[in-house]
Amino acid sequence: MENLNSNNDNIEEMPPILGSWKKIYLVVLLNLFGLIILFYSFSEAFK
Amino acid sequence: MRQLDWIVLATTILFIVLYGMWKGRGSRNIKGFLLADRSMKWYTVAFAIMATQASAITFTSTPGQAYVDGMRFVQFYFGLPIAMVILCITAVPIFHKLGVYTAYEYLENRFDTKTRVLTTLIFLISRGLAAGITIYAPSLILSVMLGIDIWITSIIIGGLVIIYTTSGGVKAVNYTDFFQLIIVMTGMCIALGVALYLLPKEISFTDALSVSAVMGKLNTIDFSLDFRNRYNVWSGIIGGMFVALAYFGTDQSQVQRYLTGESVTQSRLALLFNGLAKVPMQFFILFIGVMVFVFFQFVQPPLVFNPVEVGKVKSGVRAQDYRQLEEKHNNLFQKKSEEIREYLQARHQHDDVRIAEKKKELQLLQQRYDAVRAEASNLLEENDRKSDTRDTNYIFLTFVLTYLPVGLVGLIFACIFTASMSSSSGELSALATTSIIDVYKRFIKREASEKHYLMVSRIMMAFWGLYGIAFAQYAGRMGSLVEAVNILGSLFYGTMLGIFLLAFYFKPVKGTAAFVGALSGEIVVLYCFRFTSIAWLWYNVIGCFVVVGVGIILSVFERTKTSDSLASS
Repeated sequence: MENLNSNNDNIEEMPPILGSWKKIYLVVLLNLFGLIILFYSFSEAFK
Repeated sequence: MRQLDWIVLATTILFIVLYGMWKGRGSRNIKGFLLADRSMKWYTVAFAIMATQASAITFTSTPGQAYVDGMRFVQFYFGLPIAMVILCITAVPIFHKLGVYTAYEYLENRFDTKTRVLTTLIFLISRGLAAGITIYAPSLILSVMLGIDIWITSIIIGGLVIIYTTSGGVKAVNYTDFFQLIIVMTGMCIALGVALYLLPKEISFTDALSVSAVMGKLNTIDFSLDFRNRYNVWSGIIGGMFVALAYFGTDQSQVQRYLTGESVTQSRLALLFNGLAKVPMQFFILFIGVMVFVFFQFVQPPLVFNPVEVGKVKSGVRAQDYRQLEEKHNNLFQKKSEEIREYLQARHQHDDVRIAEKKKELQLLQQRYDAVRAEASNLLEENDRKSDTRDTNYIFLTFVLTYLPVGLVGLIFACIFTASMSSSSGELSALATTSIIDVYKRFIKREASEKHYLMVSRIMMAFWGLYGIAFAQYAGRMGSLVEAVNILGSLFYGTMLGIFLLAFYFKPVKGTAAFVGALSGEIVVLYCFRFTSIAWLWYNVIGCFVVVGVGIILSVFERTKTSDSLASS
């Protein structure tokens, strides 16, 4: 195994957008929720 | 296929191979060869992850599945974004921090050697068999559709993958995956455009959607909770999440992709992009199948799409029976086509009574139509027990070969070849890495030069590639074994996930408890498979819970025993 303190291993890096990982995770989950709603509306609209 | 199609096909494939060799040049050690020096940007890793997951079957069979079964399969992917978030929080930082080459290497550090050996063996057996099928399945379809022998198609796919993986390692795999996915998605967009363009002029896009909805193909969301129903929102979110956690968190063919990210951030962004894009991508591929279905409501499709099987039955003793079914099928098609036009007319006139009446008639006709297709499938099986009755694999390619303009046919077939190459290359590099790091370097030759390990890595890549080609030659003779191999993966994923969850979240659990938990989980999953009718998506959940439960209980016993013996001494 490599040195645990190598440069690659900075686990506290900030994300490049939105300022925090929590916000990015929330975006991913909201996207899923939005897609489910969208797909549901889509199939209902043509029933 | 015409000459221009062959030129497009050959040029695209040749470009991919040369590009892979060029981008992968210069690896001087195994870190470069097996982990691309951990230098990849998130977008390359993200595309590699998606290309590895989406095999040729995804692009040939998924539209066919939508044609037959509608769009409900998209729900299977609902758990994936949640799994991506969980893995970004847990697995990615841990794997990066420890600088491991494989997920199983981490398990020795966390538990013990026997747990690492167990997971390595599970991976090598299940993924090794799957790698054979990854070459075999598209080779069979391409050989049927292009009318060339399966050994040629499997040697082309396997051989080209061997060339660029042995020369450029994982760097070549990731860069070619990136381009392969772009080519495949471009091809699929064109296919959708052509399907819509070829619809009769009087049929609008909303008409097409309306027809597909009436025929039950827009069944995207199902909220009913039924454990025997393979695809509904709940099995997708819960079962699909466990499948995705197991696949992306414990299967080296995916772990290796995001281990090549240059930092935790790059790996996380790659997985999260997959979480954002995968569901819409699957929806899009299924939607192509639905539009092909609508197209075939106005242009007569064959009763059976696999031309080889049709040829066999027509030249056999059941030829007369098949012709009778064909006649029935043709009559039903004509009736259905007329009814659809009448339904659309009623819809344009906003005549609700007639709309309801026509809907009912159409649904009945579709049921009768499906019944005739099922009868034909049975007939093929009765005619030849070894016949390939999975007609969904041939629907989309029949449409492509018959109705796409010259040049585009070659591009779509290039897509299918490159999609199978991208999945194969990911699997071969993962199998080679596990063979080297978890077996050769760990148990056979612990100390050797980088040059030596690099050479053995190349040999391993070539070995797994040759094995895949050899498997493809004999898989056809194995019959139902191929299906058994497909099921095999789902039998082990839950156990693998359980072990990793114990490792990540349950610090007091030690090696023996995890090992016994894994064996117990496997026994329960095998019992469910053999003696119950539970849908396979739930095996992952059950297996995982048993491993975690037994692991925790045993560790509590171990700790009680240890504290008792300490107290008595």
